[in-house]
Amino acid sequence: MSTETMLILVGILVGVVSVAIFYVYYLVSTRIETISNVAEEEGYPDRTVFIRDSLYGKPRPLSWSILFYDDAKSIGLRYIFTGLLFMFIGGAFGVLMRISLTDPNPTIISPTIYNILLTQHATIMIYMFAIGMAMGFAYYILPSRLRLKRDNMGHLSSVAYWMWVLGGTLFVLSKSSMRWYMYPPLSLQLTPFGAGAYNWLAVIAMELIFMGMVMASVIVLKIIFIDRADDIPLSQMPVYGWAVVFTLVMLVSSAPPLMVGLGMLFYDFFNPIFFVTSTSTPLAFAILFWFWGHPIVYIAVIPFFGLMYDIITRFTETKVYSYFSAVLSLGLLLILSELVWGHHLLNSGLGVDWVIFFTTASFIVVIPSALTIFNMIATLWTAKKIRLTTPMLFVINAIFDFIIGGIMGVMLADDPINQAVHGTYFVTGHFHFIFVGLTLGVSMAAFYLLFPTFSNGRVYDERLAKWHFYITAVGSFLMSFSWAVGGFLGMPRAVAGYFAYFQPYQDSAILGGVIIGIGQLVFLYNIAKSWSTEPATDPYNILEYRTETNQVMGGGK
Amino acid sequence: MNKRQTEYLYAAVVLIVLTAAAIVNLGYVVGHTSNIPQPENNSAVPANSSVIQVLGYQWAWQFTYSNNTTTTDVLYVTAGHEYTLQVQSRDVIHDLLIPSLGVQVYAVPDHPNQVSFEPEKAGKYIFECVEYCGEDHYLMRGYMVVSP
Amino acid sequence: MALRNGGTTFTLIVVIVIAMAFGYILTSGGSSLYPTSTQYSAMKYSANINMWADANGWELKQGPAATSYDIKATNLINPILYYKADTLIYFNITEADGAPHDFTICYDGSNTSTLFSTITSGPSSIYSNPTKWENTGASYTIISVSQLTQNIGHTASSKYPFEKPGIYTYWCTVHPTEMYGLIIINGASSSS
Repeated sequence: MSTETMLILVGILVGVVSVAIFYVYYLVSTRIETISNVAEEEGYPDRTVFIRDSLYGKPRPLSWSILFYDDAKSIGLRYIFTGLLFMFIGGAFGVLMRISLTDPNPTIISPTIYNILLTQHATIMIYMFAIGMAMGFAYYILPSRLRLKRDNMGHLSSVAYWMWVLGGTLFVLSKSSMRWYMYPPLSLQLTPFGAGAYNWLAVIAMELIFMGMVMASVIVLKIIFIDRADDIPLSQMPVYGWAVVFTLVMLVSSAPPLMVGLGMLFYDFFNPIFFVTSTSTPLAFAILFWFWGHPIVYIAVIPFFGLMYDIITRFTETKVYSYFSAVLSLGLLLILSELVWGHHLLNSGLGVDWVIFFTTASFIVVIPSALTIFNMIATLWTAKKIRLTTPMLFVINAIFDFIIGGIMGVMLADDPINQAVHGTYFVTGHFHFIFVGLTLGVSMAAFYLLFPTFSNGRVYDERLAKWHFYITAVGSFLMSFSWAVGGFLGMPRAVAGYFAYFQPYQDSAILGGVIIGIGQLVFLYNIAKSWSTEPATDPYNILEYRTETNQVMGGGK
Repeated sequence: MNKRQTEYLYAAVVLIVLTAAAIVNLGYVVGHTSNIPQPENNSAVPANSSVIQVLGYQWAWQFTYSNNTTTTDVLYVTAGHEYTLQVQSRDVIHDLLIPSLGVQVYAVPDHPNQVSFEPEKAGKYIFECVEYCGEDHYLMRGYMVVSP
Repeated sequence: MALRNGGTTFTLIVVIVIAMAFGYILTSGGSSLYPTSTQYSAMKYSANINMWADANGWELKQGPAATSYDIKATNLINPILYYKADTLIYFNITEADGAPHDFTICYDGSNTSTLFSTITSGPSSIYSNPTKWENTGASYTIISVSQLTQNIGHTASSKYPFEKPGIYTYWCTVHPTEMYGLIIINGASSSS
């Protein structure tokens, strides 16, 4: 392409984009003006307060206005749909990685691209999908569940959301290949063979994601503790509320060490003093990282435990078997999971005392997880009837997958086994059982439940939803199970090529991965198709409570 | 059996199983300290074991034996003899894993680690790097040849 | 302002964003040869290559060139260049015939005996079909057409840090079937 044609094309592109931006600006500004006039007539000095108050207590369907309105439900919708969008990007990267592994030598994509996909898949799935869904459901469900007295920190939530999105986008744009562990000195190698030429951007992006997450967490904690309706004491808060509290307390308390660590890592690009061998040790960063890195995997699970309790009790029409034990075990998870992070570094030569403490703590942390699962099973066991709708199927599959993944976790806590399988696909299988089965499954369950609310009364296609469930469940089991078996034989993870000896395990995992991908396409097709039908149901449902109308007086105090 | 009793029962079962597992693990760790990666400078090399210096770099493993010969990506050992690996890294963090023997040790720059193992059966086993270390991480692998 | 069909809109957004993300990540091979400042400072050796850019082939001397790759020829064209890893190579390219030329490299793979024999002999070798080994998608132009100015006798210089061992193809994007050759970077003496 010659320079002239390129200039003409760029000119046309800039023109079209400017016109589009101006049109959106025009729409938004006229809309703002109309709302301001109405607000003034209603006696509100502030337009945004009027919007929040008029949206209060109503189900909120998906619309473009969620990007501009700052009420809790709009923020929740933003998080949920951004999380889903990133789930599809990360999932597509994952499927591409699987496909590239059909050959033991990297012929389909180069190792450089494989490593970029590896890094992006992990980071997107954890920070954008799991956190996005956790935050989104908290923002969306809690206002009606806890019948908020006021909803007045929307601006800050919005800032937190945009920082988080910007962080996620910049992380993808950075083409970083440092893996989500970010261990220096690799992350300081700014070459395509190391961590990627633009890895400094990835570090900034991570810091942005962290700031967004911590801000949003503090606001949600404030919503739960301060803005809750007066007639809902903490002792009667739904288990989901408690789950969110524990998650966010964990997030807020364990993120700061890594935020500081990321700042030091960024400084090391210019003046390497913090994590280099001459003045320190690279293991210092690994310790800072895992102090956060272990809690984050619980953060991706605990809110979904809360949702599982909710969904189970509604579809069995009983109460939680033991509310006290449910809340207690989630609380114990908060405390204990902060004490087990060292088990990620068992083989890095930090001494025998380190191994003894962290393996023992890792056995103890299983106790509250097991109590949670037993509690759910007991709830199901004592129920008079169980309605096997799609969300319920997802939840039952989540329990099943969590048990397998949990048992693999107990095995990993055992030092002799850990020495043989740490860093192999066994670990990948362990957390994919939990992340695909539980995090993805329960998000989908909650999404299906909230679908009538999102779509203003449409009903999803039950048959397609069932297909989505069965395909995802079978694919995830096949993939994670093949990894578990292959990993036990020593198949290393995070590699672009492998010994041909491991071909059968890789091939069955590839099959599983592709099947999961197909399942999510069914989901996309389902929502696109169902949304074009006529509204046929009430947007209120078991996750979206019917609340009384506005409790807030004018002026929005 | 009422609700509370069921709850105590399953809590007790979970507690007993996990405590037993933790004690078994503790017993192993305390009894096999030389098989657990430790910093080289504060642990003695076990008697009767040959030291092999291992150097990990992007993207190969180099083994230096006690008679000063060196091999790359191949490790030669004899069955029934105890070996001590002293593992270092030249650039980034690597992690040497010999899956069939359950030997795993990190190669951290400026933090030499040491681990002992004793191959029992002759044969050819794989080893690999299991800590992501850059572009050709997947090629940082090789064979351990155990001669009888 | 409720969306008439949020599901379809969302699906469209998902498809577009995935396509963009794939396009962005999968083309990242192009930047993988792009040298960074840290690479320059990490080089241990340096070397000079003086070549004449002639549409009939890269020449080591000015003047009538051999017509094919022949190691005994007085004026070797399209030579295979051997260097150690971590070598900073200064390329001094002189315009020989006034036609537009540039100097571009790509990375073909690590220097294994299989790849070496495939690339240097047989029907799929670079001498039979050079464009097969000229990966324009993942290439890096060290000296551009405008730097070489098309004035006969003008010399343009640039440098490139060869950090990674392996086989590199070099060629002129204007004359890809005539002006091509190999740079072979051998790894550090890792085996002894």
